[in-house]
Amino acid sequence: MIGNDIISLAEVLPHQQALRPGFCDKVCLPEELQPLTTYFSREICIWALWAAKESAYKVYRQAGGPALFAPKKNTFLLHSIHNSQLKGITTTPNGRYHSRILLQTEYIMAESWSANLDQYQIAHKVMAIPNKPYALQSASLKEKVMDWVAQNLGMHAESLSISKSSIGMPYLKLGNKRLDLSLSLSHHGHFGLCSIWVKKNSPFLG
Amino acid sequence: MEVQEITEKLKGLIETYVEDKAAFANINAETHLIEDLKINSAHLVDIILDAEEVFDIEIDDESAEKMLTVQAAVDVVAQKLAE
Repeated sequence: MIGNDIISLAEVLPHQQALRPGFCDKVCLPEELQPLTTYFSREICIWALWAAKESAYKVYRQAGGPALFAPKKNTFLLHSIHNSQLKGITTTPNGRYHSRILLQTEYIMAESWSANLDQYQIAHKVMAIPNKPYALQSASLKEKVMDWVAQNLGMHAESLSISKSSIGMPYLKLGNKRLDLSLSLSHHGHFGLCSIWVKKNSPFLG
Repeated sequence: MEVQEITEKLKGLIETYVEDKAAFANINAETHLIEDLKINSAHLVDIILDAEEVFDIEIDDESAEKMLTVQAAVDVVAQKLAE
């Protein structure tokens, strides 16, 4: 299982949303934030944690967790930093998930997954999408995802479709058949993110 | 404060963060703030902070967890006002 999240910094930094009094207290614990602020600004750290929490929350939901809005119940523990990539574990009410956060100049993205990567691989792609309106963002991202997947699996994009499960999680279909891969989609501002989780013997090359 | 007044004030707060105006036009008690109104989940924090300011209340984490629908948000605010 995989979950992801992407944050467009152009959408959040001008308004200093994360620096609003009370925002940080609603989102993260001091012990989550403190290790990161050694390396990055407080504002960036809050958004990095937010992205990790959102990505882990999607895995939590796929693992059967009920819907809830509780950012501080998904706690990120930093294990390592290498360049702009942070790795760690996000603990949710129903499990602990591997998480990685990538800090870029224009966006922050995060992925969380449910098992070690010995038998699986993760492929992701950041895609440019229209900034507005929401419906167009979503449709544009899905179209680009299907093109990307089709290209990698050697099939026609027209034969693919993206549906949503009963809990709102996206999945790919080839005709009427659900593809055996886990998919997570996010979009924010001009950025869309698709993360694919497949077994290592899958033809998906990413 | 009457429930109707709480509801109208909360709707005003929520509308600030709704990009899909057509979805907001159909808002009702059961409307889910994220799934139906497509509000960015980070803005849910803003809605909670706005509600604390507008109603002069404090919304603890346990109460905030429930604020996923319009009715749930109204119920939390009403409860906090009554405390």
